[in-house]
Amino acid sequence: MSSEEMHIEPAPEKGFFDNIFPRQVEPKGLIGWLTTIDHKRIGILYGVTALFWFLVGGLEALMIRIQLHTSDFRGFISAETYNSLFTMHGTTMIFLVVMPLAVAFFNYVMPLQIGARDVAFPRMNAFSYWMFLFASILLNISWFFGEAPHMSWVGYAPITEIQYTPGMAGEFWIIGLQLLGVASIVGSLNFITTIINMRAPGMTFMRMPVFSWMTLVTGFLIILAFPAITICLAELMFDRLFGTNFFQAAAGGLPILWQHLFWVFGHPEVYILILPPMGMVSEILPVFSRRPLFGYPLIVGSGIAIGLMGFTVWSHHMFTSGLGNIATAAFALTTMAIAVPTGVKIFNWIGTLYKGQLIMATPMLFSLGFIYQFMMGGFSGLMHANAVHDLQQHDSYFIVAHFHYVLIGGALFGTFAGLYYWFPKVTGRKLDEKFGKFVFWFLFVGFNLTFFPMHWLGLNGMPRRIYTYSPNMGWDTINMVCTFGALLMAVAVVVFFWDLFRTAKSGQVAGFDPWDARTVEWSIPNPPPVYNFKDTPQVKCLDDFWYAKYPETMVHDEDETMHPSDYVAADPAVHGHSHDDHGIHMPGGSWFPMFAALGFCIGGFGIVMHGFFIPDPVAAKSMSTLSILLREYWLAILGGLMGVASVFAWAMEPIGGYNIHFKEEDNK
Amino acid sequence: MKHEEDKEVQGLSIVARYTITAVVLAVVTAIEVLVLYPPLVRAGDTFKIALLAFLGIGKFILVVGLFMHLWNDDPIFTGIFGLGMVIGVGTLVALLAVMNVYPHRSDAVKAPPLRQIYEDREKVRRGEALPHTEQHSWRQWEALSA
Amino acid sequence: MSAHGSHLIENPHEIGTTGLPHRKIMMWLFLASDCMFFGALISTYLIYRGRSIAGPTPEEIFDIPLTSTSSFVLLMSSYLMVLALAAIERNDLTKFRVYCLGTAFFGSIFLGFQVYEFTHFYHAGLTLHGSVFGSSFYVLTGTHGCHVAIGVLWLLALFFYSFTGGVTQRRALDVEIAGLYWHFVDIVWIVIFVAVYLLEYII
Repeated sequence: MSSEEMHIEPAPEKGFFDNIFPRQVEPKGLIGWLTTIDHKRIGILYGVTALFWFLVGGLEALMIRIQLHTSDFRGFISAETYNSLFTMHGTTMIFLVVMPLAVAFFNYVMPLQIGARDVAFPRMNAFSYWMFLFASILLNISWFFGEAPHMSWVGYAPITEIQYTPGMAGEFWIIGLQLLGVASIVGSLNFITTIINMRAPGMTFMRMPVFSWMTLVTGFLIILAFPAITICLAELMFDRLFGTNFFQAAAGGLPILWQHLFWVFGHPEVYILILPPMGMVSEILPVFSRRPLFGYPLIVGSGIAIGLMGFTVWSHHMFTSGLGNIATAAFALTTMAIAVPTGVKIFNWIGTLYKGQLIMATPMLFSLGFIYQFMMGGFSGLMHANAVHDLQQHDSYFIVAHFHYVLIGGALFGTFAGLYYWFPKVTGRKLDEKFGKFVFWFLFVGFNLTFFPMHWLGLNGMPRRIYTYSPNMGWDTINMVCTFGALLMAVAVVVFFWDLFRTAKSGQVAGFDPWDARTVEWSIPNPPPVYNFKDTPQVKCLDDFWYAKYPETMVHDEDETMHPSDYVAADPAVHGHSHDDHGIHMPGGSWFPMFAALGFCIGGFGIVMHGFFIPDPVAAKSMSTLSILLREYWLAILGGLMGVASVFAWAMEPIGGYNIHFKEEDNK
Repeated sequence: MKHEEDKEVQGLSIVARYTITAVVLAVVTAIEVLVLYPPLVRAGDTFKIALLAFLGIGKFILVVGLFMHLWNDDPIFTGIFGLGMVIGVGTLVALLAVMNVYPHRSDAVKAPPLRQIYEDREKVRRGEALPHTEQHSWRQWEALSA
Repeated sequence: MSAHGSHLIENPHEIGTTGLPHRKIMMWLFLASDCMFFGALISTYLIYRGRSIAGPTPEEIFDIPLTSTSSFVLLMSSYLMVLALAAIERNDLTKFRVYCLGTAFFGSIFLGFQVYEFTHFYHAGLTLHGSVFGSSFYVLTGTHGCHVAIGVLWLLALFFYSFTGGVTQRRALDVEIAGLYWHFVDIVWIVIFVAVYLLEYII
């Protein structure tokens, strides 16, 4: 890349709100981060926040493991705290770690991979981040009220009903998840629009990198699955706050409906967690095998198939609830069927490795770890897809082992692979290989040591969510091994974070295209300039960047899919305006996404805190219902109004921003 | 004005087409209500439900297709909305099936409405006879669960 | 391409490489998401049909002629909405204002009917916490009413915005997107009207 000599010219601004909160031109410093709408910065914010919660969730897990390391262990944490710990560990790891880490990559990598300047709605993107941040804080300040949610991450009614979970714990959980859902849906609407509508000229869907494909599928899963949890959370909230009877069995309500609606969301959610790492691994394996992804159309197709089939299997979480023979058989069959597209993916990954020149760098190690451990998790999943087996394994440590194999061994290892792979893209520096291998092996051994023995524990009958167990169950040794493994993982995580900080500050400079990669995001400097691409890339084939570097590899032996006939010229008429006389227009930063998110989250906090504002019964006798409601929910109403006002101000904001002009010779 | 020409379809102005659609929608709504009145439609429940579903879906398609322009707009919008509809309706139809909402065959064992159980228990307590005891399969269910 | 083409867009940054405006794609995605949202609510209602242990029952309190009238009003508001869009696409600002305000007005009449209906039902003994019928009915139709209310606010915002020169032929997309939302709220009511009200009189 030639030197980016340019000058910056602010666009004229006008409009009422510019006198109060002007749109930032070329934002710098703290204000720059608060008002940023740059997808790369938002991606970094997402990643850093998610990694912070990763530490918190990991700490919770460690405390759980220490509590369980031996039988009849007392005096460390109380049973109530233990309940809160496993509830918050699950909620944190799923909603505040694995999902947002994936979203961080969606934000940072996906627009670069499809050759876009930014996402379609940059301010909505910022709104999504702030919503996520404030909601995650809302969920976690419950610890300081001594009201941390303690009814497990699935929140089954009727345990979550007011008579069994009085106090604020229920509201913290309901409102926290509800707001996180808003953040996810808003973010996904944005990503899907971006992928459909902002691909660079020539980048047809079948030339799109797999990670962007998985972003698209995950986006659709999020927008179609989250409404179900939105509804069941709203119904539960109405039950708790306004005395409706949705899950009150005494009045004819059906608590089982909660399970159905929750898992209608919950099972697609599982694929929301695993598809992005699958996409990352599909990017990494070809790069480090130095050959194209084997069966690209099949990998993409099976990703779509997994997404669609994810909606047909939810009741396999409820085999023990008495669905009836027909429903049980049907859901067992659909569950087993979903192993087919997953298997297709795994065989294609192995096909990519076969005959490849493998480079055992850290991202590759994590990817291989991903394949092995995800397969293990898949096999134990197939075991309890069989409803008869499931009756034995339900709510035992076998299930714990299974979903940790797919979520840590699968999702987290895949995400770590992505982290090591794209870290040079984000910071311009390469994470250290020696430390990377140390982290991988400690994590790999620690993980398998922690969770593999849990299969035996589960088949031996140790139930989930127990605070302690009797010494004569014979579970002591295995539990001790599990705890030892967890400590190994903790060591790996500490080293990983230390390496992360060290490298970000003063690591080895990566330079241009450090991995000799295949996709178009590596064709720009590391880290990318604020406008991403000076000239919109013209994509001519799958793995465009690779074939631009090595055109001689275009025609291959018999098993390759790429032929010169695929090398279709891009249609310049479709897009055209890369940068012309006006230069590149960059939108200005905005305050309102943060204000709107803050308003809605204050509103949510108001609902959580409503119990403090209920007038005493004697005084309430003389009040109208309306005035009681106003007193009870004044903070909620205020926060909501702040949110709505910010949204209106946001809509009225002028475009603003600035134009970047390049020197004349760079234009050619 | 290319845009003006686009609006002329089959000799009808876009406004005229909207008006015809609106009239059809109004008439269909009237028919839907008339289906409820036994003197007008002497037919079985199944037929009435089928008719109502048909009319409702017809209205739905008219509004989505004409008022929301899916019929002459880019197919990508139809794809997006269709995906939402198919997954949404499919999932929830399955949910209703799992929750035993649909009318079953007469020999199927099905949970009765709770309200009916309570009313019947009340009747039994008062010593009144239950009508058609043996014909109602749910009573078997209650007998089994008692 | 389409009759509602993108060549009328003011800001070229709103058009993607498919030639479609970003915001319209996002609106359709949102509506797809909303299908699932209302689907979950409507199926909750259907699952709880006939499970109430306390009265009143739906047959006792539903007033079909009244609800038919309000359904008709909502349908006709959809008609006014497309007329408003057609007017602004012809750059007929006066007619746009009339139809836009008309749509908002008809939406408000629908809301008025709903307020009347809720009040009437409440006095007939149907409360939010009295029975599962009350819970699921009020939450379902109330959520729909919320959507209508948001739509009315949106249309009023467009109406007042048109006096500041914010609504023009080149920005007809703003009106079209508001219209998509409005029609969606209408089709949700088409489903609710059949599944909640009419079905009650058949089985």
